[in-house]
Amino acid sequence: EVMLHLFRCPLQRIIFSLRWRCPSSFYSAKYHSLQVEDSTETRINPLNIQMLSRNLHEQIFHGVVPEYRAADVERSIKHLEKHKLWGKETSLLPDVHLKLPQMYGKNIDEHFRILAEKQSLPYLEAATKLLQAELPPMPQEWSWEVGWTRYEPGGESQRVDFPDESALVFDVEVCTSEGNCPTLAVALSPTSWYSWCSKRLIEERYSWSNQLTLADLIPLETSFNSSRPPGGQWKERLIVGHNVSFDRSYIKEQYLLKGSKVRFMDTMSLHMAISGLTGFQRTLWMANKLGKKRGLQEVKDHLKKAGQNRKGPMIGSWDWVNISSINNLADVHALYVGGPPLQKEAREIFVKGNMIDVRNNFQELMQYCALDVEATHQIFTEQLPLFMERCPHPVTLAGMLEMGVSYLPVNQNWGRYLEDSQDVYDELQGEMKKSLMTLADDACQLLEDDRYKEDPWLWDLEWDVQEFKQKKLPVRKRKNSQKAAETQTSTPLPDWEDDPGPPSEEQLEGPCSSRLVVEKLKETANQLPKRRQHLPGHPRWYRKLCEKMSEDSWSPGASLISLQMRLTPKLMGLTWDGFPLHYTEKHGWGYLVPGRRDNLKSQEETTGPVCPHRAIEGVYREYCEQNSKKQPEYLDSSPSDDLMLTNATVWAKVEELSSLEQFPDEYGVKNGTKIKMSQDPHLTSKENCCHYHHGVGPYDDVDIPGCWFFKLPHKDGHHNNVGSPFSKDFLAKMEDGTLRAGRGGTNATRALEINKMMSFWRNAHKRISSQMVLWLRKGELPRNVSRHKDFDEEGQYGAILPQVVTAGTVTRRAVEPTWLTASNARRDRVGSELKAMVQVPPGYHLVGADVDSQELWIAAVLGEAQFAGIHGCTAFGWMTLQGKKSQGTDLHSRTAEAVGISREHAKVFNYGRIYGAGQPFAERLLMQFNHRLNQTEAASKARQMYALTKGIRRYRLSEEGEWLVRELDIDVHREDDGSVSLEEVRRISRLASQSSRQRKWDIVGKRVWAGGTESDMFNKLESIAHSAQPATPVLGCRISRALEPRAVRDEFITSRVNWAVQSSAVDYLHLMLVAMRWLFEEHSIDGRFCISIHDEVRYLVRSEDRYRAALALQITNLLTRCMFAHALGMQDLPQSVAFFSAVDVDQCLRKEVTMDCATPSNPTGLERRYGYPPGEALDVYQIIDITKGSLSKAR
Amino acid sequence: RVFGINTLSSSPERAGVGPRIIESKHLQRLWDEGDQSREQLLQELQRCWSVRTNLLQGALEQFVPSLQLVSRKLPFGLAETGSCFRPPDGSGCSAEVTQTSLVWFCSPRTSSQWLDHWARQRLKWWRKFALMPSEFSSSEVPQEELEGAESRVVKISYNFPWGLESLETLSCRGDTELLHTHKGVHSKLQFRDGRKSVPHVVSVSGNVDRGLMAFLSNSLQQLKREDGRKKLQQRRVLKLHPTLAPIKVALDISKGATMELRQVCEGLLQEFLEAKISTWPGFLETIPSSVEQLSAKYDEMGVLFMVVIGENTLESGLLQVRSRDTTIRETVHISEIRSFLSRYVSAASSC
Repeated sequence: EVMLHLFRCPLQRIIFSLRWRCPSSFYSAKYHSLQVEDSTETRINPLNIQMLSRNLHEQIFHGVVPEYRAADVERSIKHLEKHKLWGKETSLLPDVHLKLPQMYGKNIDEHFRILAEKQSLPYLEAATKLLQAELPPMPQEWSWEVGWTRYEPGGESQRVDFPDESALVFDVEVCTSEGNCPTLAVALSPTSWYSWCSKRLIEERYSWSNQLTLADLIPLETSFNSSRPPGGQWKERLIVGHNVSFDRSYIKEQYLLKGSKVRFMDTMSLHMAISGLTGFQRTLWMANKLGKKRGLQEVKDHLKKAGQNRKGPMIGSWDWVNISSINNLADVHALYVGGPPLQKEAREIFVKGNMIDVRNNFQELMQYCALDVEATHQIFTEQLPLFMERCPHPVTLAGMLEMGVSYLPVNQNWGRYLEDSQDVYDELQGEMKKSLMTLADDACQLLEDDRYKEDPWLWDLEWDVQEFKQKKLPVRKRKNSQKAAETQTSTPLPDWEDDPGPPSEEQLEGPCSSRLVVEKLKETANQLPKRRQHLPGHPRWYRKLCEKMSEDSWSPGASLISLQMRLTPKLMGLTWDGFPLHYTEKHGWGYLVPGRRDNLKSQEETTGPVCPHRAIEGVYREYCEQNSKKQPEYLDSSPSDDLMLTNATVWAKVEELSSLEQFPDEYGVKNGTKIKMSQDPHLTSKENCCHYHHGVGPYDDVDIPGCWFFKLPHKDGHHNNVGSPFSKDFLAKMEDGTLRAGRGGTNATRALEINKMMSFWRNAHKRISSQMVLWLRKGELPRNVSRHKDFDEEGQYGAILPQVVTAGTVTRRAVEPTWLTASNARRDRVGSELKAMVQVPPGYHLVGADVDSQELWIAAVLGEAQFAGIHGCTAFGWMTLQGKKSQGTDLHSRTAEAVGISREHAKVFNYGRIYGAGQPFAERLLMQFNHRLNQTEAASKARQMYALTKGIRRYRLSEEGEWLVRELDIDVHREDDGSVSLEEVRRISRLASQSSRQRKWDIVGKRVWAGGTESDMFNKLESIAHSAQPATPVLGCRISRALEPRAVRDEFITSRVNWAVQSSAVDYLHLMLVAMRWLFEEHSIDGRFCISIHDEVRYLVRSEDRYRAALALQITNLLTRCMFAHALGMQDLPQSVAFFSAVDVDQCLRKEVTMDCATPSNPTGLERRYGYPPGEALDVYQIIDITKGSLSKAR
Repeated sequence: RVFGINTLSSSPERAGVGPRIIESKHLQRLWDEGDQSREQLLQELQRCWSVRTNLLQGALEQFVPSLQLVSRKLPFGLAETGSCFRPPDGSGCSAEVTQTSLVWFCSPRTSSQWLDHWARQRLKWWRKFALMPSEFSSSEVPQEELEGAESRVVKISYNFPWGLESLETLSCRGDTELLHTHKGVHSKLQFRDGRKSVPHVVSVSGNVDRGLMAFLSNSLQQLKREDGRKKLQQRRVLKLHPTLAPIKVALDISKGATMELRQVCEGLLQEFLEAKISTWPGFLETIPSSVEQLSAKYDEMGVLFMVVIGENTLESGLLQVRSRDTTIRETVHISEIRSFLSRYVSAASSC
């Protein structure tokens, strides 16, 4: 055990110990044994769940035999029977024989503690030095010299290759206008200050290369022009910084493929773990900071904007505001250190200024950077003890250290990818514009005979035209010309058949007479107005789309048109379920439904354009004829990716909605009704309603004769207006044909298609092309790469260091904007092959895996521990472990079947629920998936779904309640567990108030969920969320101070419930990272951590070690899951979750090893274009086969 | 660098299997002599000059002098347009097609990248002039369908109403054909890269006839419309890209055809032709037709603008200009019409 005694500086007398706390001992009651005995390796628990093979169980649990109480087993079977799961057929998996590496400690928890302590010891020692240090005084004068300078306390300074102490606080500044090259940096060790200046700052040159090399970056371990450390040994060192992953991306050695043992501690991540805020809290916090009064206004505005205009105080407790802050250095400093606020003005020079400005303010900027370093040091000193106290398991720190060194290898294909994507994007953009211009041209034809008046879309455009103007001629002149004209017209036509013979000499020489006539006519130009009219004769809306001829950039046609313009959807003739789209200023985009009769007026009454409702009827009739068969209520096609929210987005949505979700049963009796939709005053009264179409509306204030106006549904609710039907939210509606182009032939349809293709790159290209790539020269690559047979002299090899904030959210999940959120490659999205562009250098492989249904399993195992302590004892757990898609007994199929939705949709609901989403979320989402569903139907479906899964609320009576029941002698109907229903609570309270009017009785104690497949899981999650010190069940990490009940009382419950699962998932990841590192070191597997994307980890491994690494990964998963079970008091693990279903051994980063990642920018796919064949996806049996079950290097 | 070349369409090359030139009288005579064996007859035929089936061979033959021209530095290309003779498709007759060809010589290392480059550039070119660019596509030919010296082939195809047809074929051909053409004399073929290697050939060969068809098919737009009397009419427009439209403008006169109006037309015609604006002299037509009929005709011909000179023109210098694309009639002064047209065409071709 590590025990470090620290002294707080300066010379404080308080001695405290920085040590890992032991978690409270787990339950150890003795139960009477009911074990299923079997002589073979195969083990089955009393609920017919196959457990770990005997040899594995013995190695991991050291012969602790799991015992089950008969009562628990009986209760479980009853529960499973109720949900029709008991007695379902299960199949056996082959047993796994594996000799695990020697494990430490008495149990698996101790094993992990020992590993993690060993791994983080040198870094913790370094951190301790920083905490104990008596800081040297900050230099008054900074050295204007390229490279590192060390400042002695006495004032003298000297050049050094790099600071070589084991711990540094470090900050880099970059003058962003001059590219991605670091400009200056300051480092602080326990004994000295250091400064670093880039060559580009000191030396003035006309231009510098855009392509950075290692020499441009900041060395921390190697001398100039070397990529090996002095003495050849890399040392374990610690760098501390605020958002340190940014600083890390400017450190030279971090780009080397092998080597550096430097690790990073991020004061921002530490802050998130200690006192982080949820997204919604951040908004409130900032509002509060702007002043209480104004703050409240801001909050109100925010709520209004988010459509949360409900009455009653939303946020009751503001205590948390004072014990937390948003993430920037100044606010974090104010929170942990206090004192005068940090000055950040100088920063502007780096952001807005150029290198000359930096040179002119050099001393001041160095000072600024140094002050940041000093502040970071102060923060760190305060934070670390707090962090160790709140995240007491050593695995948490060790895992975070490992996560801080992510590394993405790339090669020359990266540049090719950027070029191709942009190229294809530009081309598509051009094509789209062409299509739109053609549409605009074609629409002009409607001007003839005023045909536009009968067009269902274009009738309300500005169709007026300008007459061609000429100056009035003086009368005399006019007369003359008239006379001339008269004389001219009298000239008879010559006989054209008559050959006039060869021209005479004069005719050949002088300009011919016809030219003279033309030249003469040109003189009438003086009658033209000085300023030429812009396209007279064209309708006004078209004129607005054309550039003036006088512009240099002029090009013919409606060249200014774009998809974002209001008239574009109309030119394309978009329809929604067959109704033409229409725009109003007040309600945004909607559509016109014909059939209204109450507002028809005679033609004379109306001024302005008249709606051709007959034509609109025609459009709809045609649509109905085309779709003569009624659409089934649920199109069970698999939904598009855009609809398939990723787990992160599901949570974002849940969080957003939960902030307006009141708990309906708060105090049980008062408020048991469901939330009603806010009534929009403009909504039409019932009588005048459209009888054949349901939608958002109709809105009576839009008075279009013969038509009702309905709004396009907005994803955030109906009070929001849709600004463009081309936004991302409608892509899915275009795919399913709800929203389609009604005319213009292929042009409009194609434009829609192109819009979809461009969507990814349009949103992501800036972030992607600004990724900092560093190319390594041949000498900077390890020999095994540069001498590999596949090494290409002309190729490029380099790396991107993604700027991962290791604990970026309140759940301590990592945050990074490009790689961690990137979706998978899609056939019809330009540039979506992004991830596959992470490609290994010669002689390497990527080895990685996704944790199978991680969050579901975590939630399930928590519920099981709560219910009976047997794997598979709850319906939810059983489905997760044993459910089969083929039998319809897996979780998603069950939900889908019960509610009548597709399995893919059910998935979103299931995750949403686990993240804490309530019924309103389900209602909203149901309507979003199927906009044809009305509110009542959606509500009923949602209720049904929740009753089945989460169950219904029941109540335990409080002491007072029990007393009342006894006193008043009420006959209360109770469940087996003693809980009562809402009706009973109401009855009791009614009876109580009848007997004594004055007193208010507090009869409800605990509230529980009952009767659903997930009730026990939710009871467990809520009990964690409501406990005085919520902590993750496995590693005992406490929730952010800003979410502890002490600070927020009963608010932000959804966030807390969600936190329990998500934060446990982070524990899972940390455990894996620690185990992998141990196995890599123990068995000299040559590889490094690459990236973890939530439930997925990837390692970059030497090709010859790749199968051993795959085996290590499988063992890691086994140990991690066992650790979870152990921590929850279950000394066993189901075989079905013990191993990854597949470990991917591949040469690029992709979701499935067989994905070819063909996209419009990579039409031929990965294999053809880049030469990457499919990788291998190996299950545990295959891996054992290949490695013979041994992690040791083969001789 | 690309150089234009012009090579012979036939050669005395012996080994070829394609069509050959033989004078019919000569054939007659051979036949009449009658006593020749089948072998002798074949030999005689072999002596005849063969006509080319593609432009590749000619360019390969020109390689050595061209290499000297660029002082042995790669890459460079030889481009040519000309007639080729398709091998007979069973009927015994060989069809004549106009082909385009670029034979690109580059280092073996970069040939695959050059193939990608040219495939992109060529596809871009085709799409640039298309009304609906997505009908043009490129695709890689599967490995198993490659022939002879080809190591990679990309085809650019057009999606005709009756299906995909290839317009252009780009292929990586290695160095075997080049070596064969020059009888394997390495020394003549080596370029300067320090390694004495023989360049690889990337060939780009297109079928102009089919390309023309593709553009015609792509540009023809049929627009349904209902006229006032609810009668369904179809407007057919050949919306050729302004650069490709063979006739940019038509000159016509409105009712009351007179000598003076024709004279104005004549003058404008001359002015336009001088400015290299190809013009249709509609005013020479003697059978009178309505403006509607005329515009329908010009729309089908792909004429960008119809300029109508009327009585009013003689008075104020104002012309009516009708656009093919918008059908809108605009008034333009006679002094500005030529620059308007020139600018229109040049701006359209640059974007």
